[in-house]
Amino acid sequence: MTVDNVELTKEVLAHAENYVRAFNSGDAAAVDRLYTEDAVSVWEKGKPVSGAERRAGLAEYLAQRPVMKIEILESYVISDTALLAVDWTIDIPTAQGTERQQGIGVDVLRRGADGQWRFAVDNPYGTDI
Amino acid sequence: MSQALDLTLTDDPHQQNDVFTDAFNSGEGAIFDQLYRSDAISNLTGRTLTGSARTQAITEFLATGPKLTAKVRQTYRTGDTMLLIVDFSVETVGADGTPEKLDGRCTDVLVRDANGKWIMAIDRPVMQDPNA
Repeated sequence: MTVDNVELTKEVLAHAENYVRAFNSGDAAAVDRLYTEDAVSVWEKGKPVSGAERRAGLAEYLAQRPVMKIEILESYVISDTALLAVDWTIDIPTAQGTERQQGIGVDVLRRGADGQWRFAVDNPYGTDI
Repeated sequence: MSQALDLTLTDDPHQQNDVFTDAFNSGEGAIFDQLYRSDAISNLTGRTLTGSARTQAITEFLATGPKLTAKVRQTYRTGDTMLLIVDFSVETVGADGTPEKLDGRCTDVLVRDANGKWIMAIDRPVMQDPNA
């Protein structure tokens, strides 16, 4: 059979949309709740961060009031694990105008015992290594 | 394939890569399939497949004797989830019988199973753009 996890995929895509909303609200605590406790973020190529360092980095970044837009290019979803390929842009307001960052992320989500999806590996530059 | 392969995946991505390569190059779908969770999604054969269709497609492909070499480029790991980025090259034979070489970069997601062992959940190979 080909893959047809329609309901699970809907949940994962909803999670991604929730993430964008929380991110654009600037609420670091709300964003952090969308990650697993031990999640890894790779905001700088080849340099994964986790735990307190990841939380602090996220809060610092969100304080710049960045605005994210995403387009999900690919999604692969099974019962408790998902892989997304995500085309994203982030606009950061600066005194000199808007600074744009962009990439194609390859992110891994896990579904917890509570049924909630969370980012486990946040890898915004995907396979561009 | 007379020699039994040890298919246990440790925390070491290079060891995992060696096991995957050996299992792939065994040519035996029944061996390679043991590295995948029963509900895993695989794109290795060019289609997004799961379940018995996944097993059947990879078994047919491996029976043609493709040879894989692969190099781990990045790994990111949490307690129960791992993302691997691997550069691969597969030597195979095209539909018309001429040798073909497929190069690309694969993203693999491994998770721990109920026994704490790593197992493949999702793979996503992307062929290199020949014009890049």
